Amino acid sequence: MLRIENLHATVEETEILKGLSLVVPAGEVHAIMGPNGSGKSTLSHTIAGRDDYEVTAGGVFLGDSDLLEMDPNERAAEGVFLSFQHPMEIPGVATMNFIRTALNAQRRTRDEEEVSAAEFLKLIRAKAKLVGLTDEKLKRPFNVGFSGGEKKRMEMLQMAIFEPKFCIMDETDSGLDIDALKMVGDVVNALRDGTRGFLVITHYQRLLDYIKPDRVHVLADGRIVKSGGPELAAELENSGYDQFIEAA
Amino acid sequence: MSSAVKHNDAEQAIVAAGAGFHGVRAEALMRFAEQGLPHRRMEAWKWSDLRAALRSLPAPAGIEITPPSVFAGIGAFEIDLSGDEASWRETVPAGVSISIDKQGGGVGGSGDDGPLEALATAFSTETVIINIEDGAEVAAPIALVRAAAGGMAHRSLRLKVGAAAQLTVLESFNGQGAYFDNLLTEVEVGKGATLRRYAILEGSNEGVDTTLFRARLAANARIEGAALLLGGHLSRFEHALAFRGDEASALFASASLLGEQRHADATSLIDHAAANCRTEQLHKSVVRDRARAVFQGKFLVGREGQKTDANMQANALLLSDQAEANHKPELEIYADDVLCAHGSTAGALDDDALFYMRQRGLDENEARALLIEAFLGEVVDEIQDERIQEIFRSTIDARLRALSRAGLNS
Repeated sequence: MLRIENLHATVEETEILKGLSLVVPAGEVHAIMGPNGSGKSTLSHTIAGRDDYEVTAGGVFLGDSDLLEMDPNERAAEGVFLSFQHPMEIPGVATMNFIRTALNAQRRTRDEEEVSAAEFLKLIRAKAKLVGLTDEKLKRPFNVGFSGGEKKRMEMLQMAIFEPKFCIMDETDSGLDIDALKMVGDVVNALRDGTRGFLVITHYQRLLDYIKPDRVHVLADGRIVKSGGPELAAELENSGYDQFIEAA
Repeated sequence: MSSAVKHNDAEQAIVAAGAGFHGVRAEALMRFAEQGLPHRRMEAWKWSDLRAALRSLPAPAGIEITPPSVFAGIGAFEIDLSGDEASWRETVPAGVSISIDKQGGGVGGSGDDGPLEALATAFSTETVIINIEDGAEVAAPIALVRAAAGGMAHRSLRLKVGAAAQLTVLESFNGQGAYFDNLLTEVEVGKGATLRRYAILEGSNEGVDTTLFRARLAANARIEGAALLLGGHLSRFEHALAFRGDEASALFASASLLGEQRHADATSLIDHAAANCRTEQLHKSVVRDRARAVFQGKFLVGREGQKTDANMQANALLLSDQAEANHKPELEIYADDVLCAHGSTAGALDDDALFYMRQRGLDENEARALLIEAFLGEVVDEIQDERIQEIFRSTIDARLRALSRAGLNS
């Protein structure tokens, strides 16, 4: 499904990713854990196609598609979804209008029929219930005045609506209370259908209590330095990342 | 004629065109000749050098075309101001009377007129006089439709809104090719009356247009409205209000949306010469390519203006390195018990927001357009009437699409 080969990426001429390789087979959930500054957010933004992250070597593929050849919106239409660590507030842009415009832009790119206003309203109401966002929140400008937790709920709402092929969750757990963590787990588990892939980027193990990963990778200094089963997450929680920082 | 001003070709041609004038019109022409066209060494015109923009007088248009007003289709009562004679259909709405003054003299005539007022006085072949009866609540808006496709046109209009009357005025301008078009409107808003004014002005890359609006408000009178300026070679929109009675108020929101090498100038003066008056003013400039947006907003609060509550915000969105916004909010206050504030910001589109929207599936142009619409949305949101709001929205949308198709740097 997602294949990353020897990825090198620089931000403002500093190399952050230094030959990262990773394969997430279809249907699997992989967790990436690592200390601050190890390159976790650079990885997620590079996969999604942020302009100011320059790929100097390597490749990123989703199935047969070469993601590095695509614009960010083409990657989105191809099925790449990034749940942002710090979701934007976009004043003046109505939430429902934005999400529907985005959904239909993706569908147009895929040569699929657009979703009507009525169908969309039904869809967003159902999914909003799932993530715990009220109608009143949906009527506001996008994320404006939302708490950190509400913004993460808005990310999960979009993920549930778009039903992407591949979900990257960049520290979705940060700033969430137990109820919200459980909600994130519910959304992800509902989308786990044996074909969809997930890359869960996190600093702590606690989200992984709700989303059981198939594999856990440790990212340090721009590379995957260790991979293992779900037990690796618990191990890291006890021993910390110091060993990897020194090793790198 | 004074020798202090060395006239350019346009000024010479204008003076020559009025060679046969008599009386007030000849006097007005003299006042123009003494001053010449407004230029950058005049403080109020330092960013909008009309004299430089109008070096020679455009050739007259071969044929007269009046494109439909952007406000067509919402049941407004239209007065077509294009051409030498204003025209409108016979059945005038209840409470409204319209007459024509062909005596000349326009609406100006005071000795301290500026050059544009003098031109309107000298060259207007008629003055359209609109009277709204006291207490009339005019249901249909009055649409003042203007178009230019060549030559020079000066028009004068006088509007009197009677006490406690309610009126909505829609103004549209559409320019094609090279022209010099000048409209002077003088307004009296009676006690407790409300005038709503919505304007959409779209010039051409070669045309010069000036829209001068001067209103006096009696006690408890109110003016509210919005303007969308799409610019021209040089387009100047002046909005001057004078509060002459206590507790008058104004709410005015304007937006300039400019691309290519267009220029739009929104200049306003709100004179708070009475007590307990309130003003809310908002201006937004969106500028791309090599366009230039000018905003000069001034609040004047005289000694009589105690308890004035006035707020002005001006924000600019610069979409290219060569785009320019000159914003000058200004307060001049002589009363000691007032609440006046102004703020001004300028910036580019937020890269983080753009990336976020693209990640969700919008292509770059769609994402940019949505953010620009959001920026201008605050102006549109001030419009109460949903039909008029929708016309503003769709005009902005169409202009953004056209500029995006033109594909200049943004």
